[in-house]
Amino acid sequence: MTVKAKAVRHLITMDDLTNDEIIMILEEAKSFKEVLGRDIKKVPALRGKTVVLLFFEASTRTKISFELAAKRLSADVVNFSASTSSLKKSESLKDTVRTLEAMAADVFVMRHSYPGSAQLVAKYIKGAVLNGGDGAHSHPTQALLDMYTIYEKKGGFKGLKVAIIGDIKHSRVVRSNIEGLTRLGAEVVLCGPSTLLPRYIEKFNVSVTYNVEEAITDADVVMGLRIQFERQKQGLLPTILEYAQFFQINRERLSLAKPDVLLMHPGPINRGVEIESEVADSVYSVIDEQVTNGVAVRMSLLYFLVGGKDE
Amino acid sequence: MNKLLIKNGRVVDPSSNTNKNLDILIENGIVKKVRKKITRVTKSTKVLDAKGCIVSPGLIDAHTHLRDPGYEDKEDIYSGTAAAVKGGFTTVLCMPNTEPVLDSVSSIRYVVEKGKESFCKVYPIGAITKNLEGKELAETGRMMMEGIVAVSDDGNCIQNSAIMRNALEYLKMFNLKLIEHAEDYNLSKGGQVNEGYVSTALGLPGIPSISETVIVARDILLSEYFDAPVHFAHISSKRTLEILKTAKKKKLKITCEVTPHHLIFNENDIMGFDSNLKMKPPLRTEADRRALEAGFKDGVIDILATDHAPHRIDEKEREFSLAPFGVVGLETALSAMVKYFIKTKKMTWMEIIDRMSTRPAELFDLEGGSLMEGAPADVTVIHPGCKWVVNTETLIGKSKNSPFLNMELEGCVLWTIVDGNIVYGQE
Repeated sequence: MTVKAKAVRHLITMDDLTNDEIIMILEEAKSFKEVLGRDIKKVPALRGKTVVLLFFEASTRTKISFELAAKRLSADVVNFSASTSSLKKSESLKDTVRTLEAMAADVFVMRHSYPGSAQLVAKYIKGAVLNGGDGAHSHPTQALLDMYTIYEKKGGFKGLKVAIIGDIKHSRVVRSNIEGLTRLGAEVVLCGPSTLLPRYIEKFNVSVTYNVEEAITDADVVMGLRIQFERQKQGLLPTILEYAQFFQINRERLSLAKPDVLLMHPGPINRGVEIESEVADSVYSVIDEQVTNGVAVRMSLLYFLVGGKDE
Repeated sequence: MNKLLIKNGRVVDPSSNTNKNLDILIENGIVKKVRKKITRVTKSTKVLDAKGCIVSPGLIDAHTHLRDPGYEDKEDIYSGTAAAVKGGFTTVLCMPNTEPVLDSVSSIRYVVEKGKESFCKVYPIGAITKNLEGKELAETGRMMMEGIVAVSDDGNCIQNSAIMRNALEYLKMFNLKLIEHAEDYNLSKGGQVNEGYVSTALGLPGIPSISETVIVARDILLSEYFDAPVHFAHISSKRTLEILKTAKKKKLKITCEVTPHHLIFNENDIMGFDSNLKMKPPLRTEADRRALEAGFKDGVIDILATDHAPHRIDEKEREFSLAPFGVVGLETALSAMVKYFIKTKKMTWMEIIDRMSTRPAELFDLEGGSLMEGAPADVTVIHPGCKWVVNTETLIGKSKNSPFLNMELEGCVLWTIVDGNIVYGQE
């Protein structure tokens, strides 16, 4: 009798998961978080599997988070780093990933500065592709860890008001969060300077405002996004100071939210720009917990995608 | 004496508004007789039976990139014209963004000479400015003596309005049309796809449609002011079309073209990051596409042009943002029109052949576009019923970057005849 191998699953965008699967991954993440609290933070779920971390763009937290997640599942982890600028000249992405696959890797965790890259790689290899962020397109594991953080604290998503504030246009995090959160019944409000809100964003089942007080009022979750200083040079913002004056999440503004509001940020934060420093360290802030949850959620996800596969 | 008789076909010739079953006798490269029945022929006359077929004046593509000289890895004058005649074209106008740029007597001479040994008629389009830099005018007059039929900085757009003014004024001496690739680079900078829902969903930088429209508006004003003709290449948006319509109502010297891909696809088709749908201008919204379709039918858009832009497969297999802009079109243009416009009854054979042959000949003052007695015997015989699948095997050009890959199209070219010689099809 032959056992049919599970079909390869990729995670490129949140579209690749059903609502039930999202909840399943979040539930499973709870037990992995429990593992992370133990003395010996390791389980054999992915023993014998090889995870390649394919990072074409500098990243500290996402890469370390995935590396820890894979290692705590007992997978072998291989690091591959290259800058996108060197990619332009050197070996093509197709050849790079085929070479790595020929060394028998099972999962490719990929970070790349160009949208669509993870999808492109999925076309050329047999292993599973896990998108760790492709340009401004998608960053599903960040969305899942954000959702886990909300799920753990609030018990669900239905009827929650989630305000996302900052550079919406250049954010991959926001696109994946919009998809995941709205599908599970949360109400998403986007807020930022008009030059940093992409055209037609209102068609994504969200509401949009330029008024930060309006966005934060009665919110259950307030999420800040990083403001890059180069937006000033690109002519999208007059000054960072003006941004902070109109959009910074500060104590006064946060007091408009629900009393049990969660303050989140995918990091790294610019203190004094998108978030007032003391607010980032306040009781509302779950920014550090998001990082811990990131490892648990990524363990859960790796296990979901490639764990327990029969040959 | 070289004689050829095309029998039993339905002759569709917009130049004489003919649409009936006629026989055509070709002698020494010229259409000798067009009659209901031609029976008295000599033994040496070759007879082609075109029963059930459309007999059209040879198709003319006013916008082809043959990539020769300099990018022969993508296409060359032989492979490009082989693809052209397979697609029913008997004449192509080739764009000057080669390496070196077609901005000099010697480079034009090279294309003309190599073109003579190729499968169809090749007319070069000279650069407007030296090396397409948008600074100094190229030697338009001397290039005209060598055979250019128009000028263009296609792929580049002259941003400086004063230089554009100089070009338009200078060209008036030569009765040559300027073909404009309308794009404001400050607005389109870094863009990969149309700015809109799709660019937002995919996180790709957008190319707003106004980056085209503002240049078209500028050029219409310049054309009016200097009374100089401008032909707009590959227009893509509804708003652009609206201002072109206004300019045409005022009887300004404005003409324009559209590509098959802008008539058939829209931005939603890029949701899977297929780089074979990446071109400039980008595919726009469905509303834009529908407006183009209407403008193509009612004649505001003068002609169909392929913007055949070959790129190697490995170049297109890169990350979407690193893949070059452009798609091939010579082999699919006619079949796409048959499938999406004629079979759907959106347009007639007469209208399609007008936009693909007679009008382009008029616009650029070329021989061809007609099957009247005395015309050069450039003829395309089309079997309208046959279906074929576009793939890397069926395409014969060097590059396979077609937006129609793996799609089924309708209508095949049975014979392509240039100056009375069968250059494509069974002898």
